[in-house]
Amino acid sequence: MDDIQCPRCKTTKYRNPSLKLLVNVCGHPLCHTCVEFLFTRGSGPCPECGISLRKQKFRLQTFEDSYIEKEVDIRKRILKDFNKREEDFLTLAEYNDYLEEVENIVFNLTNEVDVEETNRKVEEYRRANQEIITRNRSKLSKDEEFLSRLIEDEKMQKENWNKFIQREEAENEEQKKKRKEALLEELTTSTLSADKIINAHKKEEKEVKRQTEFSTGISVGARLNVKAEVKIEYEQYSYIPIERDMCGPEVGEEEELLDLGYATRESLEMTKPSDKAGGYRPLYHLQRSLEDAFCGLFFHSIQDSAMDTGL
Amino acid sequence: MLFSTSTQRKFWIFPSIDEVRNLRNEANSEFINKIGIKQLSEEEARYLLTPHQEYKLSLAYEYEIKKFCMSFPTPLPSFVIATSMIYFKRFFLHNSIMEYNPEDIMITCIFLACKVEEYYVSIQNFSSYCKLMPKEACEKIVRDNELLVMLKLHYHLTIYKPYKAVDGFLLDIRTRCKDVKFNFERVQKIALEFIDRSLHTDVFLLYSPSQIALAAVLHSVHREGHNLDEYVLTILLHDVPQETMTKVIEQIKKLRKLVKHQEKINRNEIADIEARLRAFKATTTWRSRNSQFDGDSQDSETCMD
Repeated sequence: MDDIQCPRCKTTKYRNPSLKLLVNVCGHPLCHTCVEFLFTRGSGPCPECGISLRKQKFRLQTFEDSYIEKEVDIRKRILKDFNKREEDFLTLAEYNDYLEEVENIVFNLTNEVDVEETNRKVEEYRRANQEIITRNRSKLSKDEEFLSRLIEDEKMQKENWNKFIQREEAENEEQKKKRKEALLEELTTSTLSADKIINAHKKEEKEVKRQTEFSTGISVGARLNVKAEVKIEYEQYSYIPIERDMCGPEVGEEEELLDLGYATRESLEMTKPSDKAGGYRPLYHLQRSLEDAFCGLFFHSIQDSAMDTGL
Repeated sequence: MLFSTSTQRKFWIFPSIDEVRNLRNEANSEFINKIGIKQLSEEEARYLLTPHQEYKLSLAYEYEIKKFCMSFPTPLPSFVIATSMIYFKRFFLHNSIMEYNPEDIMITCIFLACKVEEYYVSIQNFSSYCKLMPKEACEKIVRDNELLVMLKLHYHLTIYKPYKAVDGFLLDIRTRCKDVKFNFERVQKIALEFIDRSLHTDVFLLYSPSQIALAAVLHSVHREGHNLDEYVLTILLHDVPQETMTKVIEQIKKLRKLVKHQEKINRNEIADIEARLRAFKATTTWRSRNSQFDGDSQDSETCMD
């Protein structure tokens, strides 16, 4: 960012965020305010190289490097005249020579080598090929042609699709109408009860609907060439209660403890909903104490001495 | 998690007191082999501790643990004290007190117990409460020994303790044995005292916490002049095979006896043992040899001095 600086007034992008560098044909940048100031009369010399410039020719700088900026500018100008195409030459070699010449001209102008001679060459060429230049200018380039063709194609496709949908809808509408008429007709003429007739019609309607296509456009029942995944049967999970080796008397479940009178139901009631937070229940404390008391009561290490202590 | 599936049951409870003694003897002789008894001069060999002396000294340090924990501005709760004492016990069950400085191990065990029991004391606070040594030295000891202690405990850090079990038994008695009339608060208090005393014995290496709790409750009820035989026989051990019942009763009896006849600490004797240990450590040959087989001990060596 620091690099962007007006060479004349030394304003940087940092100090003035709205700073815009403009360039003219010589490629030397100037900031907006400097251009306004120096070229109040519409034209003047470039402060860098002294070439006389016109204010209208200033444009926004695209490339940071003024050399490239200048080259692009010149190339644009030259290609306006040197607009021959491959079809205009008899052989590929000739066309290549022509392209090389164009490159030479651009290079000479940008590097200021034999500027006058080159300019004269350009002028000569322009005069000699006046006819071809104007003819080619009116023609579209190959790329442009291709693009326009693409756009055209797309438009056509869209139109076709819209038409198709409209037709489809109209058909559907018509069928619906017909069915309705048939229903009314039947209701007035048939001897069956009204409910039965209506039901029969509804069934019919459903069948009609089922026959249509999927939204993706694949018709119902079409076989796709995709292998179905082999289904693997998994056993369903079923809860198995944990078997605990208490090594002592068992501690009963919640209901049992309450029945035995370890605590009253009232004392365990959780009045506030916040009591339930964390999943803690008052009885847990009780159960835990009893478990601690009973677990390992029958423990007798001689039974366990067969176990590998591993120490 | 229950005691019945714990590492405590699997690895740290031994069939008999003789087994426990054997382990201590092994630890002692292993250490002596390690430093090579033949290379010791006669003078040095004289200072070696016997297994029993080692045990006595470790018992004395267990009292020190309690003292240390109670000296905190808010004394550490009993479950932390119990855990650190059991760590200390287990550590010197397989290691000789001549090899590792008991004071260092003691401090590390306490700090580790605080952590494991989720009773958070930061190392800064911990070391500032330590009155045995300067703050920095205490921090260094914990830093140097914490991993060692955990390794030697085989990372079996969960300790099942009988405190909650006492509550459980009292609750059960209150519920299922309504005709017993005694002051539950006093009984609980005496039972907890019994547990505290039992921490200075080997019962934690021999019996399950549940059995210790039951023994504590029976002891304190007995002290209060009541009898719980009926509760134990007809309610607690109701519909239990006769064989198991007699075994449990036998276990409890042995346990109570063990706590009742626990070894007393004689200050003079301990001072004597400590002097011997110091003299033994002061021998230069031991020190240089120690650093040979215990590469990282040089740091802790400087702390010991």
